[in-house]
Amino acid sequence: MKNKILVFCVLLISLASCKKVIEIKETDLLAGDIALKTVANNEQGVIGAYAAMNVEMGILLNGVMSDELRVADFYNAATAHEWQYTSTDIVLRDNFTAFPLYFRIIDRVNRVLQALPTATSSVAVPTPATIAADEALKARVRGEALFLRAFCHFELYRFYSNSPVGTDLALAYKETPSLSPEARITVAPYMTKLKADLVEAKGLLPNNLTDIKRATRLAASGLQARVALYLKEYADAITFSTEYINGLPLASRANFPGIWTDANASELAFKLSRTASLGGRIGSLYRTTSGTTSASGISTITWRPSDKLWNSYDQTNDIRFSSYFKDEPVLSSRSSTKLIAKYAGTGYGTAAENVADAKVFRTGEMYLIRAEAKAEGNDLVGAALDLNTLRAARINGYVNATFGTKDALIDAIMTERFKELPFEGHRFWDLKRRNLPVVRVGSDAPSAVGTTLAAGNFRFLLPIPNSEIQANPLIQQNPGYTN
Amino acid sequence: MRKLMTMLLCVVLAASQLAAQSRTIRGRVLDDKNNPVANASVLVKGTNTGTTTGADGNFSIGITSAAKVLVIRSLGFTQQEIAITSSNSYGVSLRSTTENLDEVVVTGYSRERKTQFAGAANTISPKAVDAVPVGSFDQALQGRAPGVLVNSSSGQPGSSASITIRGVQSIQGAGAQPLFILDGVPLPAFDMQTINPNDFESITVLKDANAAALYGARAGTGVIVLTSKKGRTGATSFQYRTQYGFTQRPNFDRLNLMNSAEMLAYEEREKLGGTPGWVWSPLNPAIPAGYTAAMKQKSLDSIRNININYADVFYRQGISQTHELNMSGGSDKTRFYLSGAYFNQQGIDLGSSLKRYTVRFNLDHTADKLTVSLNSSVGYSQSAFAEGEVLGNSPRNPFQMTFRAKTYENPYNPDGSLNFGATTPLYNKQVANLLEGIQNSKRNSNQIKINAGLSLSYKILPSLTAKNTVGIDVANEYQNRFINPASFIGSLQTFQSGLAQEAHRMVTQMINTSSLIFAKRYDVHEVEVGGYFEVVRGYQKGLGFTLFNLDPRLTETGQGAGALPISVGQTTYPQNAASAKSGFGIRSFFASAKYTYNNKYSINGNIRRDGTSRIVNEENREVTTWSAGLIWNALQEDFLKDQSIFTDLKLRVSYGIVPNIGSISTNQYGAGLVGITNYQGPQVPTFGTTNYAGSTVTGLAPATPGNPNLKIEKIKKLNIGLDFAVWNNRARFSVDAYSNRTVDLFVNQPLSGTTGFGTLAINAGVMTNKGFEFVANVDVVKQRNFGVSVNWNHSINTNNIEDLGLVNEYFLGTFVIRKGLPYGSHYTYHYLGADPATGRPRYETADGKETIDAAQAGQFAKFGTYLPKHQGGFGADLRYRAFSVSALFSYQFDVIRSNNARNWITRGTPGYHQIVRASRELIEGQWQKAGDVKPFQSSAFDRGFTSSDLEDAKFLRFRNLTISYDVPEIRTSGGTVILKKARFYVMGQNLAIWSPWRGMDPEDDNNISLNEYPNPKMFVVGLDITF
Repeated sequence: MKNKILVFCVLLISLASCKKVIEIKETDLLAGDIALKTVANNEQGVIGAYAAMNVEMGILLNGVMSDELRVADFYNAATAHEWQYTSTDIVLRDNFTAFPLYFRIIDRVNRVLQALPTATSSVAVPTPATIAADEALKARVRGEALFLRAFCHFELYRFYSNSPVGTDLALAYKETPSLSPEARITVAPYMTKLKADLVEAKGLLPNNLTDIKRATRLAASGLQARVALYLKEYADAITFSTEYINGLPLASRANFPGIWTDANASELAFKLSRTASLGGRIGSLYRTTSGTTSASGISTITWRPSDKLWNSYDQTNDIRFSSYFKDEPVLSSRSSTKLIAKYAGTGYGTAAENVADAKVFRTGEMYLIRAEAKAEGNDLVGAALDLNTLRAARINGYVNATFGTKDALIDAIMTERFKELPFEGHRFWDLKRRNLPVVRVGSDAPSAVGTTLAAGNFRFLLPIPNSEIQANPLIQQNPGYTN
Repeated sequence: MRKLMTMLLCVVLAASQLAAQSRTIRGRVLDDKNNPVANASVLVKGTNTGTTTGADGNFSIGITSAAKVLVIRSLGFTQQEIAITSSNSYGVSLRSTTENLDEVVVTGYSRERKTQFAGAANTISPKAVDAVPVGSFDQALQGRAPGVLVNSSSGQPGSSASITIRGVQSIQGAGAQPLFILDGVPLPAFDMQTINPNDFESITVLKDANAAALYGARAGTGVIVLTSKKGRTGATSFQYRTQYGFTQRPNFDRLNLMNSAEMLAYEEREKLGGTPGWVWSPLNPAIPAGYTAAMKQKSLDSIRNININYADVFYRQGISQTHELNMSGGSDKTRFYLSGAYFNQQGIDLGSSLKRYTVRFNLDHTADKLTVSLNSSVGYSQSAFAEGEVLGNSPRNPFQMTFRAKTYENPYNPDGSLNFGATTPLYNKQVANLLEGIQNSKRNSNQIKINAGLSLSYKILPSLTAKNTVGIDVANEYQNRFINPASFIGSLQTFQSGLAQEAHRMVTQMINTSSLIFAKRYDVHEVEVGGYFEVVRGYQKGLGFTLFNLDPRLTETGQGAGALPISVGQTTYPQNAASAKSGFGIRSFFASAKYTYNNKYSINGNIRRDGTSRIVNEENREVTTWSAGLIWNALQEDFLKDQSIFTDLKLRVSYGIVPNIGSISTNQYGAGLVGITNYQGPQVPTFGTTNYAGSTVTGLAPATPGNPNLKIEKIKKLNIGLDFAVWNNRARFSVDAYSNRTVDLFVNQPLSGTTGFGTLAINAGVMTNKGFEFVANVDVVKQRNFGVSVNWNHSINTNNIEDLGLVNEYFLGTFVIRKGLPYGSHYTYHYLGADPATGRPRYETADGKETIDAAQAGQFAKFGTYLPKHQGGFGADLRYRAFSVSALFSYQFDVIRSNNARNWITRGTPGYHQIVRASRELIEGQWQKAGDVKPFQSSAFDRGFTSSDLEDAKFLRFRNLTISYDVPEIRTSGGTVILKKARFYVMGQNLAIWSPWRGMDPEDDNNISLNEYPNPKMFVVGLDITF
């Protein structure tokens, strides 16, 4: 019996020593310090940010809310198309909530920027060669992170602020990862930070166009030019657009269609790569893919080009018309035969239908930025030269035009932006930026209220989403919206 | 050597007793209903002299003058000792242990006398689950105990019901299940298909802080304590049990769907493009390309008379059968219970079934001061799952197609084969595709389940016992999904040739509990003090893989699978396999003390410290809590001695704090078909992989923000209870009132978008559950050959979110989490019917006006919650001679659920009509012309998801009816007993349901009715033979 007691006691003591039992860690989790451990891991972190990058939201918004698009077979975005949205609007919530999207990318790059300085070697046994490679990669990754941070903050600014006035509200400029709600800051300090990020990024990004699916030095110049235009800092706009134009000339008329089929990379300093399985099909913003190899197999055409846009081109001589649009008579029984072909991808019913890379910066835009900046600076000759150069590159047999006044020139530049940059995410912001109304022609208007959005209307800025208002007690709603 | 000596000694002693035998005494053993007890063992205490009773309960035994006491034992009765007097004749009355169980509460750590138990607990008779033909016994607990909400979300054989005790107590842990304990070993919830409930001896539900005190942090949402049958000293008893029956689909008439003629007429009336009723209508001037008017008419005529009731096609009558053999018995020192059982049930869905093989071995051995007991169960189950359970909104989902399949669709070719292939609205092949899919797909899970515990208990002193229990629960699971490569559905898979997914998971939990208990009675003072140390350790490991491009000559195998083609430009190879592992630990120290004065007052208190690895922050990892209870047995008071109204009157009060480990948020690691719990994920910033098409480098992206400050939420529970009995104990009542307050509530706090994340698991806010529970048992007639008793239990629970921390509300699915509202309050637009002038949907605006502009419609939270406020059950037991009848009804009311099926069938738009078999209500109820006052908007407009989808989901269910006949003992003409006793019975489960609900099944465990596997009706006949 005594040994039974002994066994019993040993059992008790051995089990009472289970102190480690409340210190069991997760062993299979990519978390905390180990996630962004090496320089290579930090590159992965930046790739994670590219994976979430999106310009499609702005492309669709600038079409739906402006005069670029017209309702076709299926219309479920009336509150956006007819400017009826509030902060709880479901169409905005499901399609146009830039708020979490861009701050998520910003968080991703901020985590990289935080971890990168102490990142360890990418290989287990470093050699002088790998150390040097790590240093180069470190510089590139930091440059990309800063560029993406600036880019995303600028997108947020276009959705919710879009004002050159330094004392107007921008958003929070996030420079470190944090879970605390933050208030909006004004445009002046916001843009100071944004421009500083771009200046530093520019020094670190690759000064070549080998890999334009990731940020390049010229892409930073392009963004600097765009930012300067929005802020009406015309000298800067001229400087930076000139950098871009000097680095990347306009495409020839022969090469121009190939930009949109990704056959060549003319004019492009940065585009977001898209495949059938990764990143989504841009062309599906306007129409679904086809069940057959004929256009008749398209099940739904959601949006068609507006008559105003369609009719604005010299349809025979302008290379942009045939690159951007397609007429499909086979659809005669449907709401329209007129299709947007800019992102049509491969043929109907094929694997890469509607698949195309998302173009972010293009030389065409840079010419128009420089023209507008020069015109605003009263360099009417220089401005007209840029405008005519662009037109001549696009239109067969183009004869240079002359412009009597600055206003006439600005009008022509705005019309040219309408024609050069449709479905690239500019129109609605341009009208807001220039304090112009959205005016749809009669055949394009979905309803009486959907004909015109008066210049300066509060709906040119999107409401801060209701979910953000609820979660962030410090946030300020945009004017005109009740919550 | 020692054994040999002992044996010799015994022989010598026996011989000497033989020599000293002096007289023979006789007696008769009867039960409490005065029926003779056969085969009871009668032993002279302290000797091996003994005999057993005959069929008439009589015994005779020779005794010596040294014999002082007789010990009588029989299975199912408490042991009884009687003093031997000078008389030669003795009458012995045994009390059955089942009634004995009414006198005690089994808490898992101990058996407490009810008179000393201050907590709130309900004992559920093992009859509630015994022989009930459900694959998972928790399904059978509905309506059995107040405050215990049991709702089934699936009729899949072996699927578990969801159990909520005294309301939802946590926001993040809203679905957290109570802790199940079988013989002291934890039994993971939602995993009961490989457990044989016929082995259960007792089921106890512990509801308040005091009753569940010894379970501490594991008991936040209550405890269900199960014990298995033990052997008893006496003759060995064998029992064979068998059952045969069938499962049947419920009646779907409550959906009120159109037949073919009605559907075609409706399509024609509404001019719905793409539907045969309009495309082929003579009123439609358009003639499709390649058709003539005559061909249109012919097409219409060919389908008009097809009227297939698809409920009969998608469901079957399943067969269900069981066989079981058990034996039990034992000697003075060693007692055993053994059972082996086979359970096989086909579900009502065409593909689903459960086969289960279980073995139980329970052994108790007493050697002097040491008692050893082993309780073990080993089982193997094979589950075949219904495709519909995973398909969701799909024309391949038979549960959804119950209200979608067009009655005019003919799935068969003239030769009877299935006419499957590409489908269009006019030439629908959805049903044939569904049936072909079911025939060629398999989803199985095979499980080996071990639940075993070994207890050693040693009486150091008569008043001091040391005890150690070590237990293990292992579920080893193999899951697969196969799609036949040589089938139509197989050709639709990635790489066009079938699919094989296989996965394996092992979930293990080990527990060790050590205790030292001092219990002593000093005259009228009873004292019990215990110290405990407990460790729980859990492990999970899983792996899974997927194979494509299978060999079409083989089925259900990855053998022969071809290489996978690489897409143009593809530079990386995907991993089609995954694996993960995880684990957790809980360590608890606790002490309890109880003092009872003269059986009149009993007070108890306990204090404990629980720690768990599931909390990352070391500061918050351990938590100290306590509880206390008081019970007053009023009838023991002198001033109540003379009253004759009450035969029982007890007042119970308890208060305590229970940490709720079960509700800590977790994430999952994917491992193919199985998931592995990631215990710490929500508390640390985690990263996942992602891909960017523009780079061959795999991306890393933060997945969860992580809250390093998370601590364990705590529930403060107060309970006041009163038990009383009148009418000579024939009417017994129990009422309990409680107030539970969850603090440091786990909340998924919505985060500002600037953080880059949507939500964060934090501790914020307070939730309360207040309620009232009532139980009544009345023996209306209590005679020897005739008895009638009725029982009723009812409970009311009111939930309220008192505080949410930084925010006032956020949305979760179809409901809103809002301060001041109960959990689960539906939140949607208030639909007011069709606008008489335009047919547009009308809504209420936020400021209470009406609008026909959907953008102006307000959302409201005034429609009620999906958690029933009232629930209960009632039943009756009738006994007449050898016949008995037992019936149970269960009910729930004050409950609103979102009826998604109804939304689809009454949506009334061309798009929805094309994909559903619409409700008849649309025929009369849809707006057609100006001036119509109708509930449903014109088919030209859509109303979306609104309050019109919210329906009263109250129900009254005829849950169980059992009619049985006890076959008397059968002997040969020579007097040999062939059969000691037998019971023949018929049983029906889910016989009928009454409800205003217009969906498939009002019962579910969540807010919205989607495409659940409906709960079947079941009928069985059974036979239990004891020999």
